[in-house]
Amino acid sequence: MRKMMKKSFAVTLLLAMLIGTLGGCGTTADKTSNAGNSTAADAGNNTADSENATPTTTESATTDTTVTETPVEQETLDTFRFVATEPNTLNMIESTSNLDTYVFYLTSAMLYRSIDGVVTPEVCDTLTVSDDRMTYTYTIKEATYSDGTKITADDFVYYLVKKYLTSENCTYFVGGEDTYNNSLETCEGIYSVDESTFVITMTSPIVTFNGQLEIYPLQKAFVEAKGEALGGTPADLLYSGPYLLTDWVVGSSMTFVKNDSYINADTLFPTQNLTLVVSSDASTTYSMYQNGEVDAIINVNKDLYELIDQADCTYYSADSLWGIEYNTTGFTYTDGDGFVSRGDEVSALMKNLNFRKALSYAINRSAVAAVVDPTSTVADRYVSTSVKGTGDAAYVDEYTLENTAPLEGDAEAAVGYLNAALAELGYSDVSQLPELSFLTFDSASQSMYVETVVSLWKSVLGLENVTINLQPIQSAIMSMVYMNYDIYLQQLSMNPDDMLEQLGFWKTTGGVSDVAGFQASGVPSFMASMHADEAYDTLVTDAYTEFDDAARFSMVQQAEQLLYDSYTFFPAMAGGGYYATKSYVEGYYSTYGENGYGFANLVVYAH
Amino acid sequence: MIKYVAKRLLISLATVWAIATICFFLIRLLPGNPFIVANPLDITNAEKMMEYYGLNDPVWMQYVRFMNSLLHLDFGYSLAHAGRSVNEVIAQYFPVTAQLAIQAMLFGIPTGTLLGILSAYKRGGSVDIFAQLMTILTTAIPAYVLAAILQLVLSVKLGWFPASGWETQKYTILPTLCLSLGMISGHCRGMRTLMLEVGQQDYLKTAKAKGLSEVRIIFFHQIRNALLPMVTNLGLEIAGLLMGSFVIEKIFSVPGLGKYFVNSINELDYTMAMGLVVFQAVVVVAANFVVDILYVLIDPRVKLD
Amino acid sequence: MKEKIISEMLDFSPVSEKERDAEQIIRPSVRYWPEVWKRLFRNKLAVLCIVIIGLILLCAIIMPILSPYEFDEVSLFESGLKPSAAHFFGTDASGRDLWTRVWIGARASLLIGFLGALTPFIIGTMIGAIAGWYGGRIDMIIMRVCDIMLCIPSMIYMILILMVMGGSVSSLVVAMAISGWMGSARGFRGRVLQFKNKEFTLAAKTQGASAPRIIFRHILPNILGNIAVGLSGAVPGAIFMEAGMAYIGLGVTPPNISLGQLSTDGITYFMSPTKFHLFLYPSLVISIMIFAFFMFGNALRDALDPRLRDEEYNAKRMRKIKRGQKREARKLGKAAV
Repeated sequence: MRKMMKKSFAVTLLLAMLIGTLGGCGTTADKTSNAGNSTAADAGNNTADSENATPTTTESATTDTTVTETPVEQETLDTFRFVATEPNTLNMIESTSNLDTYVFYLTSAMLYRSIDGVVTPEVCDTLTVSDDRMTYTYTIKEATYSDGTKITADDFVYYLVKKYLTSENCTYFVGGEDTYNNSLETCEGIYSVDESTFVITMTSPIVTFNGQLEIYPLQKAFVEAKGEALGGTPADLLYSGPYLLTDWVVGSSMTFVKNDSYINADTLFPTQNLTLVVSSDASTTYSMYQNGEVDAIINVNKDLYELIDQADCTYYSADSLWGIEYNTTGFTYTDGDGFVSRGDEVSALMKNLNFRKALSYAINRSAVAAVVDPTSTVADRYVSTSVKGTGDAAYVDEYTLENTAPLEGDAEAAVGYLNAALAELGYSDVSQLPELSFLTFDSASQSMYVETVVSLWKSVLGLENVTINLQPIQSAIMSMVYMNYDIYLQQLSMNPDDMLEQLGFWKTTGGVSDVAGFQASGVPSFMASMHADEAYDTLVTDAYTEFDDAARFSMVQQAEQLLYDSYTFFPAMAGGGYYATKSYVEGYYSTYGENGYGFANLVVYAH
Repeated sequence: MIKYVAKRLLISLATVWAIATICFFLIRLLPGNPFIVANPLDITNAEKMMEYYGLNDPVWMQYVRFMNSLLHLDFGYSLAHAGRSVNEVIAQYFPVTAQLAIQAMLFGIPTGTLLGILSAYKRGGSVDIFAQLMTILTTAIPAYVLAAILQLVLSVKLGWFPASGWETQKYTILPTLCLSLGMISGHCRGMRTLMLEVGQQDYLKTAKAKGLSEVRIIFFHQIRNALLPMVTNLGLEIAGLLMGSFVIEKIFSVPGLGKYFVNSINELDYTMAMGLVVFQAVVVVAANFVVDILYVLIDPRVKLD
Repeated sequence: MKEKIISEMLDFSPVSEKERDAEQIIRPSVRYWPEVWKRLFRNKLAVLCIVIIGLILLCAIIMPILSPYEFDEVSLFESGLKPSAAHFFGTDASGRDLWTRVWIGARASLLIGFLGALTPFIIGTMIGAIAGWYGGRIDMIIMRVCDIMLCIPSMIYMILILMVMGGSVSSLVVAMAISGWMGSARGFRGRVLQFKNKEFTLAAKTQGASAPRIIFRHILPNILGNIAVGLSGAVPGAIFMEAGMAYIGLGVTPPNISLGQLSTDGITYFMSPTKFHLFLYPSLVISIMIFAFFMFGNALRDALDPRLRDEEYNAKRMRKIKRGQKREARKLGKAAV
């Protein structure tokens, strides 16, 4: 009897488990299909609604574009699907990544918006700049968030204070430093006058600041109401831009639907629905593109570049500068013991200019770049090649550097420098050199670059003392900041709009090479570059207030030359940027950066 | 019985606590700062954030805070992805993992078991050879290669299924298939061996000697006895599946917990990683708990202590 | 009825010559292990697997020595060459010879396979033996620790250990040992419990044998077969685990290389028209390697458990006979027509 009971109990338990799992399955399946249906239905409703609400305007907008751009009238589609990398967070305050900004570009209104590369006022009505270029007064247009509340001047002020001030730029604004350092809610030099007017005052005129701020409104009340949940889900965002984010399946997709309350909804962003498809696997991305599951790939990396039809690929800009950073300080920072010497031998070796030159000259940079990443170009400068000079030519062509290392490397010269270094340091043979560690990220391109370079050093110079130290990105950057390396493969994002920002990386104080400041405070507040040069600092600082282009460019050129000659940061490669679009996609534009969703005039034709 | 269940429950809870504690300290040992992103200039910001989230406090203080949140079953917000609540992530994406796991199980286990039975029934027959071949192929080829091949054939060449994504039911087929292939071969192999082993047992000979029909012997004696050990393994298998598969989730862009977990550790997202560790620990411990109890109920030889 | 049987039983008669012979043991007595080896080598597939494993081992040892290229030697102008007489498997993007790299990688993978299977096993066996033999509180504590460790995702140890020790074969093996001993500890504990109260153990005990001696001299040989099968399954498991880790981005640090690393790196070239060989060869070699170990394990199990094989053999013979009968029946049928 007891046994029977046991048995029946067992059977019921098993059944319960099964039913539970089955039930779970059922509900989840329903959920997903519901979600799928509801988003589709919502999208459908939305389009229907918008058509009903403003039938004339939508239609005329589409017909306008088709008429002007193609003689034969083609049917357009209202959905655009593209592969892109997911944002880290949509919390505007804590966002640090460009990827987030690309989404804000779609979901938020802007004071000025870059449309196909041209900065145009959007919510900004008028901008008055004082003669001394110190006071900027903005008035804004009538515009609303999608929930109907008005966008006010305070919202822009809040964004500027909360987000725009950084360690690098806060000194330019009156009271900015105080606000940034103490994380204040207000700033003396940034304030609103009334609901539609706000003012920015600067400490000194800056050549890189022209007032055309591409910033977003941020409603304080909303931010405070959401607290930590801000930007976590589509419901935790306040929309004012061309699109509403309706669904975000993390790791899979994001769905956007046109926002009819957007200030320029009638003229810009004609595509009704956008779907951002997340795919981190090159083969998968390629499969989707070939299948027609997606219409475009925002960032064509080297693996995809080899697969996709070259006719579909378009180059837009180099976005990052790769270079080899040598630790010439001779110490490492540790949490326990503070600054620790990297050893007399290592320190002397890395401080030797001839040795660094030998390492640099041994690298065939153009061949390595071609091998590591076919989308990249070889780099020999610290300023982006897309920066315009005084005339039509690029700055880098107008202002050249002298005594640079050949792009193809120079094995003979390298050996010569090495021998000079060995003689200076009293070594008779390379085998006596101390171990050096070459630090980089553990991602494919980085490790490949480092492996290739180390192999070249081995074959050209006979160096066998360099070991590779691969670490996950966060740990690698931490190690780099603490100077726990002898050689580091550095990558810096390049801003083609601001050459001075790039040069600021190597300034001694306030810049990234504030080693002295680090030593004094023990707090890393920078990326420790090894370049310390007063003449360089003066040039870069003065360039910020030099409004004459030719004079400024020549200062930048001199600074570049100083930095180059020190062989502390050896420029090597410019990370390339390609995007791919199917032939039926027109008006696609990538904004600055790795990739950006500049879909202001995007049209998808029926295919 | 009640005493036994209560005791197991207590042990299970203690296990979850121990796992949470060990993992808490292990994860803190990983070097790095969760707020550092690709741009090294943001290090100032990262330091500020460390201070803000209290990550510069002594570890014991952080531990007390963590235990407090554990007691309230609220794991807080992700550090690497501001605004993302850990509880919400689990609530939203565990069903995805579960759906995938259950679909794979519903397809994989019966298919595998059936294949095992058939190949044991006709050893050396065509079914057996097919099953053996499949077992060899799916065990010898790495999962990521298998997934890529399936994607190429079924999606790019034939265009039957979408290559990747998680939208409608159609999207779930490829990852399910991929996940269940390993299961099919595992169960097929296991079932085949068990069937053969059971075939040796004396009670089966007795049944044969009694002159029972072959069908009756196979269904009521052989299969039933062979299935028993498979059932006891099921709990752990389910638990393993419910943790998600990083490889498959990555290749097919499935928003499951497996990918989340690997990423959260790589990103040093302490709160997210801890939340997922504790959640997974609960799933495994619960599965063990159920299996322990089932075992006592099913197998009369196990005595309660 | 009953009486008839009894009367038959009582009806004694001398046994014929033939019947007496039936009781005689004609075949020479065989010891267990030689018999296992014999059975193993009789299995063609097992021999094939042994040959494959031997070949792979041999290649891994001598091929890098014979090759004119260094595995980490970059040749920038020979990037992505297709297989040719100079480069049997072609070259990778930085112009390194894939043939040399595959065999250097195979060295690492085989080392990881063998050590990664053995180390956790040895540690687990020790711990399991202690738990099983001493029982009581020690057993309970060890088993609880086991349960807890089983629930901690191995990712965490892996990352930690690779972080502290650097990505190398030894750190991978340590990581595998730490995350994998629980299974064999549980298994061996069960076995010790099973044999602890058997007569031969008691006999050894009464003769004053020490616990380690009883465990390793008396109990271990009894389950050597199971262990062999388990280990032969664990080797491909460890190789796979390494490949999986490489897929996540954890593994041996360059310039060192493993097969898993090569094949996961190659997966990006899966659809590439020009670099498909970077995917094909490493994946092929790793698959063949796994296949050989796996089938060898199967064959070993069959050899150790002769009942299954004999059954199979009998079944095959029976089917043959049946087929023959059918054929004959058909022939007869035809003839009749």
